[in-house]
Amino acid sequence: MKEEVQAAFSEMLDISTDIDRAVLLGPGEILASNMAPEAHDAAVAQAEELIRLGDLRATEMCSQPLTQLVVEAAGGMVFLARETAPGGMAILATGKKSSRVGLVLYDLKTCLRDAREALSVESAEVQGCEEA
Amino acid sequence: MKPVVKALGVVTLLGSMAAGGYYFLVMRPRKPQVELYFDDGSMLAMPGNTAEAEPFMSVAAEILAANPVAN
Repeated sequence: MKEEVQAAFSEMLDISTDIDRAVLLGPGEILASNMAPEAHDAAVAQAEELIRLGDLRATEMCSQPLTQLVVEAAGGMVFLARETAPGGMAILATGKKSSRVGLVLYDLKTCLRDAREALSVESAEVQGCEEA
Repeated sequence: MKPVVKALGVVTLLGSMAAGGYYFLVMRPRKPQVELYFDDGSMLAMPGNTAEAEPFMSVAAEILAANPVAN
């Protein structure tokens, strides 16, 4: 399972020339990352904070939950994409200032979809073994 | 005739430069720096120097400080 999720993550990094660093977050764990290990704890907290801020705005606007976010700051760009279902995954990434936003968001969503497929196959196999 | 043409050329050049400078400094549209996309298809874009964008800019600055990007 981990290998397939890692493969989806690595493929995203290979395809996207705009993504510099990224971390794929599952519920309560880091599924894949190319960030420095010492930055992991902070990245989890920062992703959760961005999601919290986005959902707060969604509530104020009477919109549905946040799905994607882009911030252009002085040092580059920050991207976030997430699954809105309970226990859903999220992916946080950084890129240079001239990043192609649409392509980066597409690559992040594709990574999330591929990782979800890998996790679904795994849970179906586990369920099949338990029933047998 | 020639000095008149020359003067017109200089005036045109200076006018173009002034208009370009004015557009760059004042009229240039401000690109949103924070963009939020929601599950119902709606989106919200905010300039980075607004109070509502500040919390997002602050977290993004922390992320980029911990993971510097070679621009």
